Amino acid sequence: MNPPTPPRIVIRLLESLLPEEYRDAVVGDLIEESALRARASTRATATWWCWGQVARSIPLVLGSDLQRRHWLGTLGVAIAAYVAASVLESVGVAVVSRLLHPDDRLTIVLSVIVGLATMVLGGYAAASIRQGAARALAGIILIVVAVLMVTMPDSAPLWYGLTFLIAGPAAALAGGRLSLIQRAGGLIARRRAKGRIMRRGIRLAVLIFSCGLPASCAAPAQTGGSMDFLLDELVALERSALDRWIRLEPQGYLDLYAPDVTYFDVSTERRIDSLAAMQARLAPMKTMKPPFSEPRYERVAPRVQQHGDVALLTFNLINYGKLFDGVERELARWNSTEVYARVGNSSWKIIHSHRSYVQPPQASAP
Amino acid sequence: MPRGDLLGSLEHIVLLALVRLKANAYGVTIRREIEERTGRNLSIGAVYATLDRLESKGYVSSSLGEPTAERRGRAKLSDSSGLKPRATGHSVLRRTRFRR
Repeated sequence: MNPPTPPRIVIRLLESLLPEEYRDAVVGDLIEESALRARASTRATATWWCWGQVARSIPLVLGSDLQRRHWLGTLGVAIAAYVAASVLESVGVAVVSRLLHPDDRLTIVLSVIVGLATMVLGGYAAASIRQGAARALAGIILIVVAVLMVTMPDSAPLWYGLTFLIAGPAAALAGGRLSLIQRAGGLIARRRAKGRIMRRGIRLAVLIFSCGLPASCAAPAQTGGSMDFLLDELVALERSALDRWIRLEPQGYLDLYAPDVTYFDVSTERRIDSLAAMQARLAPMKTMKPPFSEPRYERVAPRVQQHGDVALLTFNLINYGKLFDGVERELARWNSTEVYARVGNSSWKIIHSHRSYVQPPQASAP
Repeated sequence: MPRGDLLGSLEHIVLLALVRLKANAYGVTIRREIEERTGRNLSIGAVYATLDRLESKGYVSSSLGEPTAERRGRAKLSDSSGLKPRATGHSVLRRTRFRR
């Protein structure tokens, strides 16, 4: 029987709203305690508790995160994005009203669409300028709309206010997510524009990370049947290993490898076979001194394909770190392929890992 | 002691829970410990926000635990040992004086 888990929407909500540093811990706590509560009482009680935790936890964690990350700057960017989006929205609504009759229902619907589109743009712009600003913008929208609904209840229909109360923050967050995806997709153009310092950073990162960037997971497997559940599980395990890896602790991945694991990356001329060979390859990492500080990473578009007891996890990985000048830069990008299989007592183990370095395209011959 | 290092009441409670829980201190156990001892039902977010403040003040360090099936990942373990060992006493003393 599957262990009781929180509603999927609750986990998605937390994963999309919470900062990376808190995500695993809060979601993990929620899963663990919700299962305990479901066993002690009923699943409905546990679900209700989960929603309560989401409502109480998100503002606190976001507030704490803002304090940590120079919140004034983030808030400033978010407010600027909000003002810009509001101006844009006013212009858009004025144009729509001029083209159509102001009391026409179509005008109201188009106004909603214009409003949400500007919030997407606002979130996009905010996230492009400062990480975390899209979340702050979502918070501002939520507060402003709620205040307007309470203080001026007759200024707009209830459905109109509720639409902006729910979809407004969501649109800003979606804009932030778009920015992230765009950054991942705009690799080639940016890479061409990078200067000498950037190239040096990449070379250093490659030196460190190509020492055998692995990937795997080997915690006891969940019995959830859906792809989404499996994806969540593998991604969570991958994240926990990567969190250690970027600090040059290979043990997280070594714990997750199957005994007969095979491995390729950009620096391996031949395939590496077996866990023992990987241990030997990664051993020097423990004594390395990283040429950058405050490493972090982004994992983009993870996908899982399951066939029986084998699951293929693919994603893009972007490494960041601060170089000698103290400025954070993108250090390297990877295409990552991990093949998992259920081995032994049904645990997911990595049986093959392949990391390829994303290279800028070679100049084409005339 | 700098004023910013002083502890609030919730920070005190969380810190005492850490001291009691020792190596097994993470979100779930901290919440349960506090609920059992004080009856306060903290949210998960409140615990992590408080731990974050304690960490920034230097009272607590954190590390990632081993992945477990129950939580589909790793717990963020908190540790109050070895850091500012006299800090709690100082802070309690300051609070006591203040209340007098």
